[in-house]
Amino acid sequence: MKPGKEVLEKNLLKSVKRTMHENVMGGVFFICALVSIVTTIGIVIVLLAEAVDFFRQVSIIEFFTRVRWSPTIKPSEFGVIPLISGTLTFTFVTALIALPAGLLAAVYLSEYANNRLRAILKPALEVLAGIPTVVYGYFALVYITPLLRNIFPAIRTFNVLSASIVVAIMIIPTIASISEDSMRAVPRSLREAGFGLGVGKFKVTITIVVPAALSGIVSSFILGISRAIGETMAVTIAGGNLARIVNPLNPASALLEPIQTMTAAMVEIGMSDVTGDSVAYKSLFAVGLTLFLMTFLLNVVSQFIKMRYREKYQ
Amino acid sequence: MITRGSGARRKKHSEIIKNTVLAGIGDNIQSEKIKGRIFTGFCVIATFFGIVSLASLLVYVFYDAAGWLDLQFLTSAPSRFAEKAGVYPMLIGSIFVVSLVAVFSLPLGVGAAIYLEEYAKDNFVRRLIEMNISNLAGVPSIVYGLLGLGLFVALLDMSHGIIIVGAFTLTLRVLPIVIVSSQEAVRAVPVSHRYGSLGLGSTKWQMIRSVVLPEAVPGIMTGMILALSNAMGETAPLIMIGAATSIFTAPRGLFSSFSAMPLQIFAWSDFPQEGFRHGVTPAAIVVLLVVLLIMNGIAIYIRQRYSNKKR
Amino acid sequence: MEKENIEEERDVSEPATILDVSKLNFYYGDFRALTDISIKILRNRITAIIGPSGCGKSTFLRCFNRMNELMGETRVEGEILLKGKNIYDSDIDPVRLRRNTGMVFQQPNPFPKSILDNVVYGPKMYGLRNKQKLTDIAVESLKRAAIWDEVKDRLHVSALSLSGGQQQRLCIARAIAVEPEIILMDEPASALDPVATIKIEDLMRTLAENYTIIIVTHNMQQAARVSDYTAFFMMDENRSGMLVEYGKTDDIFTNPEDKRTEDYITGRFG
Repeated sequence: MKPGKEVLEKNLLKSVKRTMHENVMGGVFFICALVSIVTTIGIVIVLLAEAVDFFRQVSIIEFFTRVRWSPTIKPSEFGVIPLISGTLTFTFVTALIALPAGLLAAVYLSEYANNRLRAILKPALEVLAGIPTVVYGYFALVYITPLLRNIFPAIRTFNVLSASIVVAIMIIPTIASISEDSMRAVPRSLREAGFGLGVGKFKVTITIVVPAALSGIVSSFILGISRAIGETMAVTIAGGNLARIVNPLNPASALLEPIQTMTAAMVEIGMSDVTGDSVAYKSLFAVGLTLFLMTFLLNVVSQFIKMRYREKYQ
Repeated sequence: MITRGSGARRKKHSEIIKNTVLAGIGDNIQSEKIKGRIFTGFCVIATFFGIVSLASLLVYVFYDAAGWLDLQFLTSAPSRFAEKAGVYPMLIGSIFVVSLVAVFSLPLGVGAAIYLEEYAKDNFVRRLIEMNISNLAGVPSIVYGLLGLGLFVALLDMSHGIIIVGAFTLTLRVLPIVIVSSQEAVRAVPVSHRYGSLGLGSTKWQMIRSVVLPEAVPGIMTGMILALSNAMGETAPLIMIGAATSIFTAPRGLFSSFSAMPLQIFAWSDFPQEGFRHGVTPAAIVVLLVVLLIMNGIAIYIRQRYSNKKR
Repeated sequence: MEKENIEEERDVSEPATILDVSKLNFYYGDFRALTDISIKILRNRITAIIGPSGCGKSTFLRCFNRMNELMGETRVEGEILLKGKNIYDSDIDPVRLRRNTGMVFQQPNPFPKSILDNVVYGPKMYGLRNKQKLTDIAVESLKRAAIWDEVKDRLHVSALSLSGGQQQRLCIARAIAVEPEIILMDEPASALDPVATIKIEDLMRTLAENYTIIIVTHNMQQAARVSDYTAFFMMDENRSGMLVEYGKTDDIFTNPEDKRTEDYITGRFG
């Protein structure tokens, strides 16, 4: 018996039914991909709609120049500067810890650790990134601040430093993994050129490998900063809700006292009972828009750097 | 140019070279080595800083939770009194919402990945979509809460803080993760298998359904678990859409009010009493971490099992 | 050429043309990969396509099942008539065409599924669900591919556990299971060891009783051993593939008409 004879039709002509079926499947998948576009458009529209409404009642100038943020407590005032100050302070301190640590960890993993060590350390670092930020916030408030009190007796219950430490721990894996990928992509021949000239490993690493991987490293830094800016729960729980302008020249005041970041302010409004048409409710979206624009800009720059400068070094 | 007395001068010259250059190189190597050691030391500290810190914090929290984490804790509702407090409604809420997120994000995410890898030509539209997905991954999660608030609650007139709104919002939040990991999984399927299928006269969809997707399953599953772990720990978006930070009854259906584990932890972090601060709240944290551990354990198991099976 | 008698084991009646290629020009984008190919492939015969590397042999092979279209912007001038119908007509469904034209690739590419699932993949895709019929088809195909005895006890084992030569015969069984009229083979034995190669070559001769086989090979000895007809391709000055000479294998190898053919056969180049 010839296999399959009765199965097959020798008809080789196109069938309308099948063509339609294939097109339908392609269309279904296309719609799935469109959801992501719709999401972005949705975010932009939602933020803009309410923010525009907000700016009809509170002028943009007031928003960006007044120095008092008090949406719910009378007299209400909507100056976003303290929030931006809080966000930038927190981000700066976090970056101060996380960026060098992430880079050094990446160097270690890429250049010094052997395969077995790397196989253990990389997943271990991933665990750091997987702990929910609420938990980190709690750790900062309940375990780290008391510990820091031993070193800085003046530290307040809510302060920048504790929150920065835990968020730095959280984003070190991101920075380390992206930077490490960039460094491992640097061809061996470049390193060997350095070694061949009698240069030691330390110098080869910082003068040859790191510069060659710079675009990926910088991109990872920007990504880390963006995440710190958008970080919410850890800084809400441990950083406090005091909207103030930070004096950069007074590190004690900057690090050891509470602040309120943009994200923490949003949470505060979200948890209060403001009605949907109140100015306070709409101010939530104005701050949200500002936040979105900041992180969006950073992400675009990060992608741009990664794409544009990748060719130059490889 | 040969000069007078060059013999003696040349000898002296080479002595100088020998003494300065070689001596210089010798000194340099010593100090370089020391610098190298210090540098490596910093690298090691940096690498282990986070791991050691987290390990210590986990020890603290498990220690505090011991004694408070029992069956009563898992089956009671929250309370002002630490001894009576429990996480049951939040546990159910979390599991309910995250399960829905799985149901919504899997088809959407895998569908988008299939479109991008199998149907889209490598042109501007495809790059735009992929860039957009990258950007969405970087948007702070609280902004997704605003999206949920503005879209589902305000525009579509759904109630505050109900399960379905939470599920939709979190789905949008984790969708980029699912898409990117599914894309990688699909891309990893060898081209030769695709040609083998097409050469036999299968249609594109048949090839995807019976060759590409089965091979991509482990990668897709791992991505899903990663996404769901994220969803499990999300707090800010749920606050924005109006989920309660504390609730006394477990949600019954899609339109019930709900609360989730991270929200309860957030609420309890405000309670200064010892029973909470070093008892109930750590216990709740441990419950959340254990759930995440189980989820990730499943992911690792799936990955192991499938990579052994195939080769 | 078509009127002459062939050996007794074969079909004694005159071999008919099954594929009539007429002034085929094939373009990848702007690049003309094949120039003015005209050739008649005969039914139930093994036709070998030989020539130096890069001269478009594989591209030509893939014209018969329109697989080239999957690899980018392509254009075809001329015709390939399958029993009188041009396979490039707009009302021809390439997917259905590929069901009629099996393909075996240079690197064996079984699916990471069981041996049985590999073989029944085709019929299953075409809608056959009856388990018994599927199994019958699989058994028959595996027998025809001369691999049944080696796998009959382990049909549910992963196909990847087979050796390279066995995997290739499995791929042949998979291709046969859909009952094609034509089997295209793109250097099917080049990735295999000599023992496995001989098995494949023996298999080809058996298969020719039921199928038309077109094989691309860079191994001239293989072409001489296995094929009934041989087509010699070369690159022209524009790097486009052209057909230099086509005829019965015996004639091509003992008494080629074109000097370029003779040079290639005797190893003066390529």
